[in-house]
Amino acid sequence: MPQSNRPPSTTDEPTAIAAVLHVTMGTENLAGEPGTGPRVGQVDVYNLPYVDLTTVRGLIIGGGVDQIFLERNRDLLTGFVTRGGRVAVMGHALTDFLPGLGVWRKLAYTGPKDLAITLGDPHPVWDGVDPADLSFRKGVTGFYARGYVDKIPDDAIVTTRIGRHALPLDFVYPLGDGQVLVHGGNDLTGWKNDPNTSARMTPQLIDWLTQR
Amino acid sequence: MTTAEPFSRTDIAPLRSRRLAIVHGGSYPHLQTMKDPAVLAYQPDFHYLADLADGDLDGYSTVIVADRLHPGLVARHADRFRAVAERGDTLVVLGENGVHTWLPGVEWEPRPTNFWWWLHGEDPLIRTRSHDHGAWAYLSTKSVIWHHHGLLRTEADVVPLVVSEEPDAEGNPHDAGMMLYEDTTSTAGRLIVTTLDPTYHHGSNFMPGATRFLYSLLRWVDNT
Repeated sequence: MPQSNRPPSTTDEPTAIAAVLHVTMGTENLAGEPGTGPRVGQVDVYNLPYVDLTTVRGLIIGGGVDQIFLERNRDLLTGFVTRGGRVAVMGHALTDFLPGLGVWRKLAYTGPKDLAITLGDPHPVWDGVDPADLSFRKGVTGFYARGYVDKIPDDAIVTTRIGRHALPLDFVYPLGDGQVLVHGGNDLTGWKNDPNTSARMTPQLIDWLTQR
Repeated sequence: MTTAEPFSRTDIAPLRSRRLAIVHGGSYPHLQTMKDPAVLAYQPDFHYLADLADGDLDGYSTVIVADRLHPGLVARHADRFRAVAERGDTLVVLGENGVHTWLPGVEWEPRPTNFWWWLHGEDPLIRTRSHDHGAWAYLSTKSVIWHHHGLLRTEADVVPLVVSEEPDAEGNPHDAGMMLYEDTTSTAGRLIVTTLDPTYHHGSNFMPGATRFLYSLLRWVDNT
């Protein structure tokens, strides 16, 4: 990408970058909304290489983000995690932009039981979440996930499972001094306004991302 | 490790003549769609938007701009997209690409996305139009009635194919805007514009209607 894509300099004011950045396809607001804490900023994926991540503790990779560009920046992302950062990967990881992302497998489904979500190993992001609130949205299944993962790291914990065979879905694993959380569906933050326990995932994800 | 095969394999047939390009943005639904054998059967060349360069879209009879691309990159390459129709070929613009910001005379008005109408028999207000048009040899109602992301309007002499029939101020149903139309008058070529986003929903394994639309759209543009 040309240099003209670089965001305005933020070096005078290091706190202007939020502790957690949501990586997007086009939306950018590095500081996040004031008055919310901890703040979540937004960064256009194509500007990510130009942002000073020194004070950033966690990244949410949005599910719609260009994974070819992410793979071209594998070293940047890997370095961020191995130095102690936390990354939450949303969507189906189809390129190898971090070590350990596993292989996403499409589920053939014919009914709600094929897509039912169950909880797996305990994890703070899903603490207190009723899996029925993930399985159904206004009575419709499939919003949470339509696939499972294979070939995940040996030291990963599987936090949610899907379908009649309880196949692995979401998982979390250590990488260097940091950790990677992978959710094989649309952004977990998309549930923040749902009128049930699924809304808990957003603040709990932000809390988890800011810990080291 | 995978051992390299002592021969090369490709989905491109040696004698193909009609040429199709699909411009994608590298998102997972796009990458998944690009691996679908039913899509590969149309032998598209895939062009990654972030690397699109001068001349890349030359020589194609049809260029499909996949849905939900990065708005900044779409704006940067809009002249390349418009040039496809201006030179006499077919440009298909799929949904959520801010088409009203880069196709002359096109207006867009947002509408909430209704994922739930089918559950309780609610009327989604989506109607098909222009039933004598050749597109209906390929499109079915199931392939176009699922959901949409706003309505398109233009003063140009276009053929509305899918519309939203909403009550007007007096409560009488009227066509409030289009979700799919064909325009063969604004340029030397053909514009097919929609607010449907089939590569996103097909590529995320989410919506059978979106898969139907993607496949029937490919048959339509392959045959016309």
